[in-house]
Amino acid sequence: MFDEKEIISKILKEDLRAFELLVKQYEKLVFHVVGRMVREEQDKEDVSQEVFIKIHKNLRTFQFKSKLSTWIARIAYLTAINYLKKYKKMSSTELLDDLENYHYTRESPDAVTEKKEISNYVNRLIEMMPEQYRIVITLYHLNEFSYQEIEDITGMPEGTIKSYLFRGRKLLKEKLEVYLKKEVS
Amino acid sequence: MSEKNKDQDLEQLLFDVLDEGPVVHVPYTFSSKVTREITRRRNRVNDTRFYLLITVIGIFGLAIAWLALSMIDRESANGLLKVIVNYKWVWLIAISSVFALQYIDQRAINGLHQKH
Repeated sequence: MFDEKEIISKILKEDLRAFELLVKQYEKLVFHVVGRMVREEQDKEDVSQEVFIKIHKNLRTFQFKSKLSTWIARIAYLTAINYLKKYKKMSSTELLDDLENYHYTRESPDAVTEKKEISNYVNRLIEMMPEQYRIVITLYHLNEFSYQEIEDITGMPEGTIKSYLFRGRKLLKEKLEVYLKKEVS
Repeated sequence: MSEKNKDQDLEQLLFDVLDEGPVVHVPYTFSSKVTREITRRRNRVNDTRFYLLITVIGIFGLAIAWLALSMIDRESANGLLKVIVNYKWVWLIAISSVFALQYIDQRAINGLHQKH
């Protein structure tokens, strides 16, 4: 079993093997958060690596006041935001308008199952959303963070988080409804 | 099926898809890459500290040698000081070169890491 306190204490004693275990434990979380914000494949890995280097550097400051996963997700979120700002890759809310006009076209209908296709469609829609929507949906649904934890991670007020989540889901639901109707007809 | 039921089913489907999320491909060697990078950065800091320490020790040693010589032979000590001052640019260039070489070396290693 992964014992956070024991692993952290080993890492603080310069045990790199223990840090490798921590990386393995949280790499999916970091890749999910970074992956939702950063679009280029190679950059996703580089930013995720930078996240873990920051974690290693700042682990001494972790006070166990929050869950370790919340702390790690916050570092991942801030690193991804900094990356987007640095390379001016922030998208605007105008993308939501593009999303309204987005239609999914099947690339290889025989290759994928229906559920997988729906999942691909929804994930593509999410990728087209502005960062705030993407991160809130990812943290809430995928990583099962609470509103309070998402607030700690992103610094957004709870009301804003709920609003992004509500609007994002509503939009996805509407698009999914249209998509499924087309599938049936 | 009623509209309400359809809506609930659609919502459930959306939630299922959202909870599942996209497939994330984490490279198998990712964790070892991270630890290797940490080791590399740590070594760079250690190397810089080492060269700084060597420089400080060198300057300190030279000062002690000069003091000792000045107690034995004032004239030779002044001669040595003159040589040091006359060739000050040589010392400065030599020390700077060591740090510059180390910097270039690290940049080259960085470049190699990024290529792989």
